[in-house]
Amino acid sequence: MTSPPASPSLSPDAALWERLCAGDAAALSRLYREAGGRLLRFVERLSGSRAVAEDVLQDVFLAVIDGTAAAGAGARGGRGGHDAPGGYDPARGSLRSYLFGMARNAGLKRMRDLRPPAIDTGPRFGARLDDDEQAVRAALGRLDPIFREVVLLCDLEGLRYDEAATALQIPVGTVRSRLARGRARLVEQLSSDAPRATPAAGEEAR
Amino acid sequence: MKPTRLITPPASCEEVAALAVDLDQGPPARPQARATLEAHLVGCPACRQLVAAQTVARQRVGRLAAVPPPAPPAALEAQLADRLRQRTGRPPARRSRRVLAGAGLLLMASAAAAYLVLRVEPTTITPTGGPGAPTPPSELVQDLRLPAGARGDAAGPGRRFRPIGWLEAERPLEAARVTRVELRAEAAAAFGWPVTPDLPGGRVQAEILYGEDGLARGLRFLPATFHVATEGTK
Repeated sequence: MTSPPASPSLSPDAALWERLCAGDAAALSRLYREAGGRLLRFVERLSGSRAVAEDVLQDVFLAVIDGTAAAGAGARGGRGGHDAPGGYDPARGSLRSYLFGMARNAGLKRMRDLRPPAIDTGPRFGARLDDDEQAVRAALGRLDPIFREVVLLCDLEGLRYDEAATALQIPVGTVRSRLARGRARLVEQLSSDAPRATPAAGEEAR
Repeated sequence: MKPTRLITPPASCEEVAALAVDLDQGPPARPQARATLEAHLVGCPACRQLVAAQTVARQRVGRLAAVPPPAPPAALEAQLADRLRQRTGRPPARRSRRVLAGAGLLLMASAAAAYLVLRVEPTTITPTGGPGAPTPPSELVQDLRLPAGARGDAAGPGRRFRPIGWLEAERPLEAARVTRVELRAEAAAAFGWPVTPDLPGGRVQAEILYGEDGLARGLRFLPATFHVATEGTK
C-alpha cells in the first residue's frame, strides 16, 4: 500500500501501526495502557502464572517495537501469521488478533518451562473476584489448554471468531466448534467442582 | 403418516458444534440448516447437552468477563518508550522540521529529565487562574483522561494537561500541585509543538501537575511563553 500517511482510508489499526512505525511514543503508551492489562489478564488465566504473564507482556511489546523498526526499514513479512518479521500487517487481521496471537504463543513457550503450577494459588491481578467468579476462573484453569485459550479469547477477552482464528492460526469453523466444546466442558467442570449438596437420605456421599 | 425423508444429509457432531456457539442468539437462518440440525439433535443426546451448555456457560462466564482488566505496570511502559526511541531513532514529530538532533525527548518525572529543566518555580498556581474557586484536582484529573493522541495542540492548551508518567485510573487524584518549569524549546518540539528553527536556544514554559505522591501526572505547555530567548525570561 502506498497511501500517504494519515490517509482517511486507513483503518484505525493501520493508522495506529503507522504512528508506531513513525516512532510515536504517545501512540505506544496509549496502546500499552489499553491493551496491556487485557494481555496480562489473558496470559495469567492461560498459564496460571502471574510471573509468566508479566514476562509475556514484555515479550509482546518488545516484539511490537522490533516489528515497527523492521517495517520502517522496509521489511515485509512474507509468511502467514503475525510473527512475520515485518511486524503487524493490517491486511492479515486486526491489531488485537496480532497482539493476542503473540501473547498466546509466547505464553505457551514460557509455560513449557514452568513446572506444572498449582492451580489457583498466588496473587492475581486486578480486582477481587467473588466466589462465583473464582469458581469460573478455577474451572477455566482446569480445562485442556486447547479449549481454554478459545474460551478466554472469545468469551472473556471479546475477540470475534475471525480474530481468534487469526490469533491461533486455525480456521474459523474450528474456533466455533472448539468454543462450543470448551464451554460444554467448562459447564461440566463447574458442576463437578461445585460443593456437593447435602446428600438426600439413602444416597451415598462419594 | 408418511415418514419424512431428509434430502440433505444429517449434520455431523462437528457441524453441530460449530453452529451451537450462536444458537442462543437464534436458530440458523436457512431452513435446511435448521432442519438438519434438529434432525441431528433428536438422535444425539451428547449434542443436546452441548447446545444446552452454551447458554449456561455464557451466563456463568459473563460475570467474570465483566471484571475490568488490571493496569499494566508503569516500569515496563518507561522501558518501552526508551526502546522505541532507540529503535526508530527519529523524533516523533509529524512535521518535517528538524529542530535538533535530540530526538524523542520525553519529559518524565525522573532525574533523567532534570537536564531539560532550566529553572523551576514551585509556585502554587491555580490551575484555571480564573475568578472564583480554583479548579479542584479531581476535575484536572478529568482533563488528564483525554486521549494521549491529542498532541501539543490539544484543545484548550491553556487548560488541559497532557498525561505523562503513570496515571493509575483507579486511584483518584485527591490533591495536586502545579509547578511551573522552564524548558528548552526542543522539549516542546518532542511533544509535537511547531518549534521553528529560529527558536533553538529558546525557552518555553510549562506546568507540571504532580499528585500527592510526588509523581508527575500531567504536562501542559504555555504557548504564550514561547519566544526566542536572548536574555533571561520572565
